[in-house]
Amino acid sequence: MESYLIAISIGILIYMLMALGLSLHYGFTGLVNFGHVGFFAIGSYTSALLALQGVPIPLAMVGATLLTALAAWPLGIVALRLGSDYLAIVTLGFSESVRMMLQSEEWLTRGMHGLPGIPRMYEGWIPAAQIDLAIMLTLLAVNGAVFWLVTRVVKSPFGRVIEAVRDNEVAVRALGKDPARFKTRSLMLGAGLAGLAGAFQAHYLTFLSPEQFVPLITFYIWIAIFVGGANRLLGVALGTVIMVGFLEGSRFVRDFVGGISEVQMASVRIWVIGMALILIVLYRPQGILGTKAGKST
Amino acid sequence: MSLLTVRNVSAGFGGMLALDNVSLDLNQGELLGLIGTNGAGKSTLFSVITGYVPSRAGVVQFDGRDISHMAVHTRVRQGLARTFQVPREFSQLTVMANMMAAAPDAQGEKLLSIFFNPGKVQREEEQVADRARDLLQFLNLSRVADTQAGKLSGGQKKLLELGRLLMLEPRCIMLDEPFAGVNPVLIGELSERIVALNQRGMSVLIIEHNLEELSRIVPRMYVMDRGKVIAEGKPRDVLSQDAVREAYMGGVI
Amino acid sequence: MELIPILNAVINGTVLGTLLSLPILAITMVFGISRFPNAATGDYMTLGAYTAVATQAWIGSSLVLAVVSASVVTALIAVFFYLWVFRALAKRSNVARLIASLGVAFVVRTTITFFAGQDQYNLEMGRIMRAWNWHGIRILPMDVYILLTAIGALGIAFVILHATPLGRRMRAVADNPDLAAASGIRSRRVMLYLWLLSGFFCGLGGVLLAIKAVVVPELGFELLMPMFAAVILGGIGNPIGAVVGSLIFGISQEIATLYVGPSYKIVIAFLVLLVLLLFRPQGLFGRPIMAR
Repeated sequence: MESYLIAISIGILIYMLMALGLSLHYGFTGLVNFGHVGFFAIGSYTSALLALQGVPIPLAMVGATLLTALAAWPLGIVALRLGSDYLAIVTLGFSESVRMMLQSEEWLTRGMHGLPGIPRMYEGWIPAAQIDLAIMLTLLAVNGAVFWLVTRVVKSPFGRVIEAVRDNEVAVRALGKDPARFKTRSLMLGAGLAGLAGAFQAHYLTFLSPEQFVPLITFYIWIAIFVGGANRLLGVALGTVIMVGFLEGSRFVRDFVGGISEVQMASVRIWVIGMALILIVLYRPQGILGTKAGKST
Repeated sequence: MSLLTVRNVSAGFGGMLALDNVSLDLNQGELLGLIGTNGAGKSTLFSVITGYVPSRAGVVQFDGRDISHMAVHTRVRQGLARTFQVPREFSQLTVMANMMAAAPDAQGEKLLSIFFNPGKVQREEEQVADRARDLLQFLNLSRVADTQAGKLSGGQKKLLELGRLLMLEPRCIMLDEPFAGVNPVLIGELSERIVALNQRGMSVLIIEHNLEELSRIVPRMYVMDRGKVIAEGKPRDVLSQDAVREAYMGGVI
Repeated sequence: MELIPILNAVINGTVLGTLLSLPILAITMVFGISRFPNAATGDYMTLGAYTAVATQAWIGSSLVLAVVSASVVTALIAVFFYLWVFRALAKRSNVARLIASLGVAFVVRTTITFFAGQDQYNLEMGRIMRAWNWHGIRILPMDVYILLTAIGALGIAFVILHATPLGRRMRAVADNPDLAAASGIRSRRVMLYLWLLSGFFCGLGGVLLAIKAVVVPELGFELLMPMFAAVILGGIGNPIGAVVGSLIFGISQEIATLYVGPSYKIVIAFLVLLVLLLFRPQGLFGRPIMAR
């Protein structure tokens, strides 16, 4: 039981890092990023490949985070000149392209076979039975630090400007500021967070495959930030817990209800997510903790 | 001394010319009006001057510099700022935050400074906050400083937009229908503020439909109709010209 | 450079481009009038494909019946979601409609997979007819069938859009975002017809695609990215642009696949999209995009 709870917590904490990044993108800057899982993938594979080459895990993870943030830069340059409709399409294309390349470039990633044997975090430093607990505690600490960091950013003048960009980009231009600069930085910061989450994923699971990085993951994170309130950090945390709780809990529903197969359960799960998206947008777009504003979604 | 010079500017799409060979001068320290029927091209002219719309021909100069090809935000940094017909407040931010967001070149806008130079960022924030509070007082908006901008009335939003503009300490401001949608009581206040700013040396160009109010405060105005400038001069003279009366008879005032 | 494979790629690309021009037309009209990219388009196509399979399984093996039922059912479902979801969001932001359409996409797809599972299905096409082969250039009889049906549907669409007052209104609104913002023009009737038409074309596109490809749950969603790229290529809100964009995209993708392999289809679509947005975001036929 305990190990199961630890595993769930790790899942929540990894997703939470991603959700904080997406919240920065959408909740605070108004960027509709449908390709977040692409950053997750880049972080994962980069850290894994670096570690497999002998780079110490902490260094690999830092490198992965930085590389992912850098990868967001060209995407920003191109996509941020235009409105959110286009950004959604382009970012989706980005993450799908990343997944396709991970699948095809077998010389690098072993494609669909997956990448096994990734060095496990704390391997050799801590007794094997305690490693998962250690990973969870590390993630807890990292999440705490990231919360602090994002809070500082959001409450700063930079944070004010990105919220202004979200609310009225044209007016930001009229104040002599270039929205593209701010959007790109926000994109890079959020991408870095997703990359960091990916690095944790790689050194926890020790096995990666392109199937772990499908668009569905991006939309799980979207639900997480929507449910709690996209521009409230506490809401993001709450939403992530609810979302993962739902995903995990739905596995047990099958045991109680019976009569439906695992495959059907998977359909039900995603059906609920789709309905949640529709209902939240229709009736409570600000999420649980968000407040109704003068002009929001 | 001409601060803002528009020479032979034309703009439009396809066969349609929204602006046809328009020229205009705004002198240093002047309070200038621009009137015209709906669709005359006034807002388009604003948009061309400020860079939101490209021109096909002609030149826009500000303070002796050719700004015709500069990006919107670069023109603003030269000292030329504008408001919008429909107010563009940052709806989810408070009035105070709206004002402070306008502060140019804040240290705290640099991510690295936030973490490596927090003291400086904090000091600057305090200075900016003081300026913002002063301006809010000047505009009589202090009461609503902590209200979300989206919840303000139309007139208050326009005042806020003016306030945000003033945070930039511009040389010249362009107001697009500042009195539209503002309740009559507030119009007088708004008018007074604009005149007061002008008396302090601010050059102002105003588009307005409210001819009464505008004629009261501007010593000189241009009239546009169907993309062209058709008259220029003192309000009383201009409004009595035949061409101007015809344009208004035919169009919607 | 061998000519024969390229010609075959052109033929294949033309067939794909023509049948995909139906859902692409649907996307561009909705994008132009309701101002949001409809993420449910792909899954509406999937719905069409599965409806056709179901029709053949339960009602009769007639392909024509399957095609008709696919289109009609999808049209009705599209109208349903308009009445329940998109109409209520008419005054909200484009992003709200986009996210809601994503929810609709999930709901449609998972409703299908709950009953049909993740298995593959195929449409029955009567006697298996062999491809006509002329010195290596292959044309499948079913391709001709697809082309004729798609062209016929396009013809009807263009008649509606250009010769009826309703269609003209739709085109006027789709082409001019400022007009679209003035909600007086978007009457209930225009919207109902818009979604009826969109749904019909998505369903029809889906079943025509099912003739060529295996029916799987991801059938439509996979194509979202390339379809949107084609919409942007043609210019949002422009029906002719949609067809032209679709053909150009279809043919160039098939030719490119000869050289880089099928996995890179998405990557190519993405790169083309990026280049487009950098240099000509209004596409071939659209109006230049302006900030206000």
